[in-house]
Amino acid sequence: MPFHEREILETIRMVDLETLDIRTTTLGISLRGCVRSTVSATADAVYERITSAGEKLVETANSVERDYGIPIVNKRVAVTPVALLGDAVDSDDLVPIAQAMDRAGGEIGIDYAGGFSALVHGGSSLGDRRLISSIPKALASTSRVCSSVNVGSTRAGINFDACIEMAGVIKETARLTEADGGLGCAKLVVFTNAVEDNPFIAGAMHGIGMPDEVINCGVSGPGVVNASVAQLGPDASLGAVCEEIKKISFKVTRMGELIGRETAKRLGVPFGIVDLSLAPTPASGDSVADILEGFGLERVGAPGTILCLAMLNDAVKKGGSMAASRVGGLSGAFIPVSEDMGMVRAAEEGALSYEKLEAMTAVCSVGIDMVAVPGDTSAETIAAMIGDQMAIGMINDKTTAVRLLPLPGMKEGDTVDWGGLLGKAVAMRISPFSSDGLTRRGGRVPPPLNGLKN
Amino acid sequence: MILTSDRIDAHPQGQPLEVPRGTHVTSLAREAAEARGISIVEAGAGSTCGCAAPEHCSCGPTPAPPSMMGTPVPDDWARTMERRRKVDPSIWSTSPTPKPTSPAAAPSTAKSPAAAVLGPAETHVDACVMDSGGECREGVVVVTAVGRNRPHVLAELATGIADVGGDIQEISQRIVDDWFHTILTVDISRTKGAFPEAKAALERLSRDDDYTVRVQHERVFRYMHRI
Repeated sequence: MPFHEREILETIRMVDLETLDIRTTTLGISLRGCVRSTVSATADAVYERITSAGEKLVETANSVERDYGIPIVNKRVAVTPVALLGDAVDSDDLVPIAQAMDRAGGEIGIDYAGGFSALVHGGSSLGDRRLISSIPKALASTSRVCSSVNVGSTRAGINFDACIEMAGVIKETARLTEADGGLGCAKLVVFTNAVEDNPFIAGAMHGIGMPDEVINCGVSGPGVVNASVAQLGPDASLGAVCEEIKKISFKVTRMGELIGRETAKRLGVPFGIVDLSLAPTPASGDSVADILEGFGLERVGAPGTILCLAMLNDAVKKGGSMAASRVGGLSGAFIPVSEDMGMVRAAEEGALSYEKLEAMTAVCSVGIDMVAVPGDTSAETIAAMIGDQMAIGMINDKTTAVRLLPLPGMKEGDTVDWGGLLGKAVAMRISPFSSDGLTRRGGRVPPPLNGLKN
Repeated sequence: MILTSDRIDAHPQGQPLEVPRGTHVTSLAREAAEARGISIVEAGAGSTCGCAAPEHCSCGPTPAPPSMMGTPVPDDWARTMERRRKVDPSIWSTSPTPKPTSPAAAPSTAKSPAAAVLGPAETHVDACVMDSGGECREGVVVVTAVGRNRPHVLAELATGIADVGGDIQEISQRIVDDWFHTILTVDISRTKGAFPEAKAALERLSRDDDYTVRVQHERVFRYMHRI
């Protein structure tokens, strides 16, 4: 037998018992041919482009899933940042384009469409400003569309004016989607050092350096990693735990490589990258927090959490990078709070504070993700919170993001349960001290010395 | 040159529209042309692929690169193209990927670049799968069955595999307490239907109160456990 039966049973156990799955196959679609002189004509062109390019995506992903027996949880589309289409049109309102993306997504049967996005780290153009002002209504009037705005980079510094503007956009989005528990904010993320090939929502976009179409694949697998750490027992050294995570990450990522390549081949489009992120779900046993607690923490948030997360993130990258021909996207350990039952539990029990979470973002692969805060948190405070995250990303030359949920009417400790992949959010305590003087200054933060690399 | 729907809208209905060779026709323009009965013709097109020398053409469904348009295609270039196209069907393509549902983009007689590589669309069994020793294993799948032990289980599995024309290569079975697990590697390259049908037929042997059958490509295990 070409494989030992232990290997065959290990693979089957991963899928059946440890929730190994491919989180997403994301079809990147360039919209650069969709620029028209009016918003309605542009929206029509976007609809036509997405439906024609993505017509076979779901059917093909389903056939790959069926043939290989590895679940593909989401099928998504990422498009060129829509702000690039917004300069030439005859209106400041780009909502019709988001609605066209939403209709097209419904037509082809995908779960989410990312790319209602703008890149303003060096300042904003007319199209960027139009897009940012359209975000609240766009997210309130669509169900699949996700939006992201990049406000900083290690090379350009931080556009703090944009941070302030995005704080207002987040508050307004929460207000407009109040009836849905502020769901719009779950589809809006603010980045620094955003990547062009991110297959994960809400930050998925099809960067301007990408081909006409490309398939990117995001793996998952916290349950598999957690099980492999657990079987080592409590006496294994940290080195042994890291070695085990490297090995299991290799295997998980290989599945992403296989499924991504096969999907791309069947669709007849180039294969892009595997994003080897550990993306948790609210499902039992599919938690990054559980892995961290498996290192020996009573609860995530306890002293030692950052050390464990740093080891986990590094081991995942090392194992995964050996398994894929091209690694991209965010690639590391995600720590969304609402989407991870272990994180929710720690937040509810008071083991995990917002400040500890901020520190964790310095060593995880993204940032403050799906964190609910009291609804009366001011826009000035949110702008400063965004600024903190952007600074961590800028100085450490890594992607960081903020997906905050200032849900109207929510007070510290209140919860909202969206179900599905978005999970359950608990409003965390935010420092009551003001940052208004900082936000009143506005302006741009110069790039750091480590951005000067040429 | 790029042909957009604006130009189609301005063109007389039903009249053919001649465009320079290598023109990129947007998908919206294709639809607009189809709706208004306008056929888009490349200037001096001697073949469906747009090559100036159809007798030497090896482009198949993919147009020649812009730099080679209108010049004879040297043999070594053709060979290079052929090799590159096997690696990436979209290479050098100056047109959007042909969509089977769009008559203007994909004539019924033309194969898509993916189909050219994959073969018939309904067949997804790999042409050749290499095991760890470098042996070529065509269309090999791994069949696993787990359940409570009883007589005739293996016979039922073997009969099911025989019914779809599968060839059992290796078998491993263990019984722990009252439970069995069986692993079979099966060559289905000569099965009566495509892989999905064979897989479905074998997995239909599963019953909730008896045992579960799972059929997976050998590639899943090779990818996960071999470098």
